[in-house]
Amino acid sequence: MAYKGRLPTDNHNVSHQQPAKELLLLGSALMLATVLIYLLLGLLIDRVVSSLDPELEYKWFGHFATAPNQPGAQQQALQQLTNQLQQCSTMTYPVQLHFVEQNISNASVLPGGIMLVYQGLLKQVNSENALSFVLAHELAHLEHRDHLRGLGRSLVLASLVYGVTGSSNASQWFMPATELGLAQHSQQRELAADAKALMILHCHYGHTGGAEDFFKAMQQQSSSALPDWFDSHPALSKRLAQLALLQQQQGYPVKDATPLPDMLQP
Amino acid sequence: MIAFLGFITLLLLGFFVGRYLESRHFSSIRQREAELVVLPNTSSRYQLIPMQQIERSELVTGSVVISIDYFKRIVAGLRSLIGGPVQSYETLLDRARREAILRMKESCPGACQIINVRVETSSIYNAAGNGIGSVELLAYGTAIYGQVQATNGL
Repeated sequence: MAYKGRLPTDNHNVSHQQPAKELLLLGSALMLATVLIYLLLGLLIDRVVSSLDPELEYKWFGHFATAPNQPGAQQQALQQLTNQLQQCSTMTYPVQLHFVEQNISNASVLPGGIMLVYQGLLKQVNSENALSFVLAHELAHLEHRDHLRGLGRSLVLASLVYGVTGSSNASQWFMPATELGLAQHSQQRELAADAKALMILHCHYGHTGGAEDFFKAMQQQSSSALPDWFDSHPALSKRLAQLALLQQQQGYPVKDATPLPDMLQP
Repeated sequence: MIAFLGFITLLLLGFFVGRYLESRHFSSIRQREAELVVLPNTSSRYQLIPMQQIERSELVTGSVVISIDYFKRIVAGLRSLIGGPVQSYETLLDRARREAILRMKESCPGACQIINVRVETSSIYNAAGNGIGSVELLAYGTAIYGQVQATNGL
């Protein structure tokens, strides 16, 4: 029989399914599984952090940063103020304050009771009470172990994203989703720290005057009109509203604030 | 946020542009296959069509490198997590295979048939980076030129 060439009528080597459907199906299943694992691990971290002895934490992390041999006058004054405020909190281990000469209006805490206070912060506070509120807020973070929670959650998230996508760069693509997850948790912790800071302020000074000064100063500077869903911190207006509400509910008196000591004048 | 928007843009670009280019390629393949159906090829080392006289024979090759689009790569990446047929790669390989054979056929105008055809593949892959994800297909065989034996009915 002679050969006669002809083309096949059908192509059985390719599937005729919609690729977009496959992406949606696989993507949403994966997303759901990741969110579930993240939530579960987040709860686990909360449990572990709550049961981690503060003394142990201090032992592990407390010596990561060593204080300068000759602390400056500002550092000493801030450390003294922090120590006084600490008496109003339930923190059991010493807080090591580091004064960072950078023009950033912020303060933060690290595991092991290390508190960083940036020089720029002093320009934003107009009284000792306003400064104390920021320090008390950081103390509250240490007391609530928020630094460990945040660290733990970020680690879980980074490893999840890496595990799922196989790329450490991929976390950038999913940044909005991951930040949303972290942000909602973080905003709650910030509000809780604000409430505790107000309590410490009331305990130390007998009134809560000047508590809102720092937020007000920041509010004048920031012009961000974006919604705060992705921010690690709640909107300043929300924080100010909470302070006012707490002052009213708890009956905290508001009196004139103490001026900043000369040493801490910017 | 910018990186995420970039990801979405690349995904949409891959989906729409990739789909358009693929369907254009497939229609070109179908058209050329219909034109070249008169040049038969076989994997056998025996002639498919008996020859009355063979003038010459030569090695002919056709090779093509085709890359997948971003969208397909993401779908394939998701698929690789749970396993199963990677459907988004199927069209890539089908296109490449048929294009390579077509190029081989087009490289020998006037030939009567191509015997001993082999198709080989290799992936062009950059392991250090994000992986280019292209595939090379090489088709080669022996083109036979000459006069076809006249047969009854043809």
